Amino acid sequence: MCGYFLAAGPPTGAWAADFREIAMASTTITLSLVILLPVLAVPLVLALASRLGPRVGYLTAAAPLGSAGLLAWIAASAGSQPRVILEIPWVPQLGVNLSFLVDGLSIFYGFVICAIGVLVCWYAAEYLGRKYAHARFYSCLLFFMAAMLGTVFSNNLLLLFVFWELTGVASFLLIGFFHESDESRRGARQALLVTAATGLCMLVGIILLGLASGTYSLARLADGSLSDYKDVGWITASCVLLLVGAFGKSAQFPFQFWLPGAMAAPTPVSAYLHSATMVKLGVFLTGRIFPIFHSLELWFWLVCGVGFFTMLLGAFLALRSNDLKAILAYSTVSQLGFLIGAYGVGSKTGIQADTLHVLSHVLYKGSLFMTAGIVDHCTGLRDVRRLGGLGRYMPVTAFSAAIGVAALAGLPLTTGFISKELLLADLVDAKAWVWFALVVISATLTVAFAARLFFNVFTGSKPDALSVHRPGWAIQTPPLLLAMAALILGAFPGLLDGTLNAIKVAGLQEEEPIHLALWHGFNLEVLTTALIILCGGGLYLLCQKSGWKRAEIPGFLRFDVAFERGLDGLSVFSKKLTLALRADWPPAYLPIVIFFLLISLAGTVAVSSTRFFEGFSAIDISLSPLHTFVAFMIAASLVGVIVLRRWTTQLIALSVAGFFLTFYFVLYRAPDLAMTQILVESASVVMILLLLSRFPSSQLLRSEEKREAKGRIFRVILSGGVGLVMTCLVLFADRHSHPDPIGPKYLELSKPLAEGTNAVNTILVDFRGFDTLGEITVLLVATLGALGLMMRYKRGRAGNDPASAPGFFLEKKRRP
Amino acid sequence: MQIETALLVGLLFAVSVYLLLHKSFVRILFGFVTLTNATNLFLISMSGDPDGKRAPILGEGSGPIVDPLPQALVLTAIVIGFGLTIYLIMLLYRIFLDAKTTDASKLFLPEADDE
Amino acid sequence: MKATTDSFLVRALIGLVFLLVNIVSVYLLLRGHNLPGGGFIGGLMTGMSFILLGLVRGWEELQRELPVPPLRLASFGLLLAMITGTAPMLFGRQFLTQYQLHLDYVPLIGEVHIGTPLLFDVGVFLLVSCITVKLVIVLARSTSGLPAFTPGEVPYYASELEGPIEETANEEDRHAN
Repeated sequence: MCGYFLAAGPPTGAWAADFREIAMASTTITLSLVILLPVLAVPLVLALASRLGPRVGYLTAAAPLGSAGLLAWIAASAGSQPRVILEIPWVPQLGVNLSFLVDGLSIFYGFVICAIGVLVCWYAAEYLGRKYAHARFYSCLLFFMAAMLGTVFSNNLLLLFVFWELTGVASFLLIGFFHESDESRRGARQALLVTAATGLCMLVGIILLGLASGTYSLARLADGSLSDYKDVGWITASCVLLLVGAFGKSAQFPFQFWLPGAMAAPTPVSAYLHSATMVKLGVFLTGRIFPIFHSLELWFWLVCGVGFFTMLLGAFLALRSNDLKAILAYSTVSQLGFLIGAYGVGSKTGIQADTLHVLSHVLYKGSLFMTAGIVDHCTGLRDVRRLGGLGRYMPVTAFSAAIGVAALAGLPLTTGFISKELLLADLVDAKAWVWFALVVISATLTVAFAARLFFNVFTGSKPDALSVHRPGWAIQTPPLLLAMAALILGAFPGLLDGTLNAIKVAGLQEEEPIHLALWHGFNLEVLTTALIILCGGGLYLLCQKSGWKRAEIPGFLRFDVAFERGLDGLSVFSKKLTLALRADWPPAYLPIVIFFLLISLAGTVAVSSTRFFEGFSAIDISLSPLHTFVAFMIAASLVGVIVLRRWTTQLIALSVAGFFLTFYFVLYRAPDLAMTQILVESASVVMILLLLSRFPSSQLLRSEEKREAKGRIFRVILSGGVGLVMTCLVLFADRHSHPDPIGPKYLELSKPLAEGTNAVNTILVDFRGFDTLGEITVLLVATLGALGLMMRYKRGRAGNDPASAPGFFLEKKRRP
Repeated sequence: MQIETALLVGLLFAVSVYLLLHKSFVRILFGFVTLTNATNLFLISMSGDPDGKRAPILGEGSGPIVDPLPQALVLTAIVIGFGLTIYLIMLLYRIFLDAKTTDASKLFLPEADDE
Repeated sequence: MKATTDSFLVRALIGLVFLLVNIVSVYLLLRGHNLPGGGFIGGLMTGMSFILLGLVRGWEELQRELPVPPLRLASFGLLLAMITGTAPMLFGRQFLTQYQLHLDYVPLIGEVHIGTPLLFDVGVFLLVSCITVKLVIVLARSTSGLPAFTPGEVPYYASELEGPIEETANEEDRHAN
């Protein structure tokens, strides 16, 4: 393992270079540890989960805590505004290295992932009941953490893609955690398909970018300028594709539907993956590629357009939802639109305070999700219409929620206020009045549903049907911590100045230092905010009066339904097509396949006939008696397989052929093969006997006698043709062997390199050990497949339509 | 001895295709087993005429040695073929239990002659 | 298929045969690097020995007496092969780099030569032998009318929505009778 670095300043003198080298090597190891620590903790969690029960969550929290500690060490040693590249060679031939970029952005996201990770583990330890599969839950969570940390620290875009997809897999596993429920499975499938499909678009974008610019390194891409690259057209295409990936992950329009579906996950997962971290990856990626693409005209329109439109759409949908978690999910969609849109309005020199926006959202949304989980936990309900008056039973939670919704609505004294003021100021500076209007409208809607979230759940009178138990202190602390952070940093924003300036990234953020303050004087933004709060409050009262009658999502916006319908349609279509082509019926397609195989082989022979038959006249046709005898025995028993009437005798003939084949391998000087063949032959015979003993003898005889007579000539022609072609191929191969075969080399090297004298075995376990590894994997997979055949879907569970039934091709066609 | 092998490979392939084209499960299964053997023999024939050569075990006697690579490939091929044969056995068993027939031509057809 | 036999002699001898076959198969495994043999062959031979045992003593008894679930052991074999392959990478060597340990004299055995390829071969051996045993047991159970999996195993191989296929087998029998 070696690490080297390309740093901002050139090292001075040889001694300094050496010193740096050593420092970098240790940083590389530390960073690998940061990423690997969660994965390394998995075995421990698995081992202790059954013993500790729900409390294993506290143990799990140690992993992100450790990562955070190591990360702090890296951040401290890297200094202010760091930019360090660490490389571990992986496939140097292809230019793919494990290349990590430590800069302000990655350190910031790394800390967010670790810190929220600790809180979520803590919260989950209290939230999850005894009956949960704790081991599975926490291992998935740790796996996710590692993938997230890997994504944010990746410098190589291909590496980033790998980690990116791993987070998608982890999210799939966690959304589908209650895999017995339909809703979970649907949500998990939607999330996986949407993020994986957009992820593939992103991969295409990455490759296009790599081909156009000649590098996959984010740092090098950010340093270069677009005019250096070959073709601006390709660059634009890759920009769009990369943004599609980001939009998919961050649930931006038109992919917004998967995020509410993902709410089927346990609440700690929603708080962690689907509000605080994973969905932020789109935002992160947009920030990462900002320095590369922001000079494109398209950037402004695409990023702002999709971002701010999603912000409005999400707010609108949140206003029309009733489920606590659905409201929060749509508001997350809306806020992610805000975060992404903010990257569009940057000037040419960079943007401002994007990390502040992200931090603010992480704080209040994480806190809100956790309070929603507490409400769900204590009442068993998530429907806002049936909740109320909970403030008396859980004052601490109500306090956290109050701060959370205040920050969501952008009320002063919270981070949400600071962040929204900054964005509005940016929009005013950029004179982007269309976006300004969109933001104002969605902020107004946000105020309305934020008010509903708090007042309709925590104040008023408690409905009689609602039974509440009081939450414990331990579960209420994590959201309280997040809310307090939002409050304190909102009241004293100056506290953040130092940190925000220290984690600036050149090319992404503007260079002049940030000074945050609560009061910037009386200006347009303040006026707008006052207007937003007033209108939002009014809207809330209006809706409250009408009893939230319109709280249903209109059909044309139910993208999830359309998506499911499309998916089902695709599967029905493919099944119908398959049935129509009769691809399920071997008697129809097998002769066709063999026929075309024969045509193509014979065609090849005919085209290259001169070369093919060259040298055939020189074939040694002298026969040796022993070989001929064995070959004859095999041939005779094979004819027996065809001619004999009873399956028992056929099987005997088949085995005789197999055993004589063993002799044939001996004649080929292959003792290993002979041993393998004889053992396989015996085991196969036992298995075949087991199968045939189950077949009714009547059916065996009937199929023998009547049906097979038809089409015999056709079969004979086909099979004879195949036999002839294969014979020619053997003779051809014998005449035209490779001038420099690799086999003898293995033979030579067997002793010196592999320390073995059985060349066949050294090839198997050493020279081509990777092949063998693949082959035994295939064996295991085939076994699992075969065992899977021994179970079937219970009858009556699936619908009556054969096309929608779970088994693909085994359904009989029903009579009309 | 390559001419015998060539003819034998041809025969094995012909027999296996002939059996595979049948509709009885038993014949299809036997055809598959024969196909596996045919392919293995085809591959081992690539190591050339073995006459006058030794097995690829070093340190025993002297003289030319046969090419060990096809042998290694065929060895795994035999075992994989075994795995696939068992898979086919299980598959035929399952289809038999589902469709209650051992005749491939009766599968997936309208249930006209079933009742 | 009821394959058990009542012959006392066969039942008594099978244990001995089992032992002998397995001694041979382990011998083949160990010498595989230098003489004909190896993981595939040894594994198949051990698998065959279990098939013999099952044929004589009955599959159910065989399954009851297996100390470890075969597929778990098979997966362990795969894992072992993979670890042997990847371990050198931790030391910066290439995938599947082999290491050798040569002992000039070990009491009772003499010269001993052990290398990581042997571990790899042991992985192959475990996998091949265990999947043979598992597959034959499952097929034998199912064809003799028992459920393919014991109730304890079902959650490992099937979802909630799936049931055993043998119901139909019984229906079919009822039809025939």
